Amino acid sequence: MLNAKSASTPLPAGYYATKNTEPVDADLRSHFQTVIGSLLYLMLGTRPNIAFAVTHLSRHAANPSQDHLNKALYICRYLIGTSMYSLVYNGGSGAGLIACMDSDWGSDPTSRLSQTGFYLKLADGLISWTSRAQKTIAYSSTEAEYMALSDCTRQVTWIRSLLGELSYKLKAIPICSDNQGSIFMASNPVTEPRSKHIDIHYHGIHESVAKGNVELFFIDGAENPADLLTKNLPREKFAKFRAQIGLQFPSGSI
Amino acid sequence: MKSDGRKKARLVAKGFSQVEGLDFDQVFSPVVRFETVRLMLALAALENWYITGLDVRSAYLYGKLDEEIYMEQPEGFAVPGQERKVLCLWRALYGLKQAGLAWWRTLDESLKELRFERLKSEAGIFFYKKKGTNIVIGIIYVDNALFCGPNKAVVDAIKAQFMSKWECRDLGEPNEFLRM
Repeated sequence: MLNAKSASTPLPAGYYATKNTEPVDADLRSHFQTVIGSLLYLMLGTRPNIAFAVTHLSRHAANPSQDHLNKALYICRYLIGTSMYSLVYNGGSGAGLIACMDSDWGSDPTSRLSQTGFYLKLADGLISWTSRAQKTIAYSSTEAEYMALSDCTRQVTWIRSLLGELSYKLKAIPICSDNQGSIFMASNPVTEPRSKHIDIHYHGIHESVAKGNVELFFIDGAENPADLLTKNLPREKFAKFRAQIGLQFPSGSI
Repeated sequence: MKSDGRKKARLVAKGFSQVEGLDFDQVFSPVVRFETVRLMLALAALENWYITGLDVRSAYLYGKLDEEIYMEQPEGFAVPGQERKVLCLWRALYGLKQAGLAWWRTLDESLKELRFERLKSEAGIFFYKKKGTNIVIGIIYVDNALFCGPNKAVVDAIKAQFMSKWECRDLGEPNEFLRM
């Protein structure tokens, strides 16, 4: 494995794992789970860039196919090529808290669940990240975005209260989204026929916006680094976003 | 074997023979979230804080037990002539189900004595704030701790007080925490 050819992205662009219909192969399963378990641990520590790839594959841990295992090893090959990268917090940047979120509507080909991805950045480096499938089906892309936005807001609220306890008084924390519809819904408590079925707890976000805990900003979808947490991107885009989240190849110091 | 080549052996209790409700009730103990550690490190970078780390040697052995627990004498180390007697545990041993919680409670208490306040939103962060002196933040992960704050002298003084309570290994300014 150490001599394996490295991959430039965690998984091939646009790849989605499909359900294995063969009966469970116990050996394959235990091998797959060992690999995925190790990858999950790395992801939680310092590797937000593999978060989507790993959580996406881990959904098949109960009955993985040979292809799933190959793809897990693909992630390992990516990691080998980037083992020197580290999360860098740049104190000189003076950069405050900022969150970015994204969703991918109905992206799972089997369940049609949407993907949520968001992160929080401080001092120009990522401190918190999440990539997961949503728990309920979203009927529109706006709804999927809205659910992701709500999860993101809750995380921001928690970080706020933590820093509040350390006597930091914060202004509204910016959250960047590339979906105008969900920003509109979050900022205006309107009930439309298309949105009234959205579960009530997602409306908690109104409160955060109204209180000035968070402020929502629109960014161009092609420029949204949180894209990295919701899909497998092509190489150039992936490398660009990876640099933006503070994962860097060490320069000079080593 | 540890990563630095030290070898370890320790006496452990047979936790699997413990009965719930009798020998233990709660076994949950809080640890700091990874994201909080990263938040604190980013904050320290922005504020240009001093950071120092330590780990508590055989931390679990300090945990005070609420329950009355008896243990067979360890094989090969029984007191000659009294082989049939059992031991009553005063403090926790590695392997006991509640060892983690017992240590955490003990630690929590002692940090309170050092005038640290535990955050409500994160049980692994302890905050030291006294009028007329700089703040110190303690980040605790079981037996691993980081102390940071704007004033090196204040942080080191607090750390020294902490280290006088337990036998610790001073890790100085850390390169890694929890293998991150």
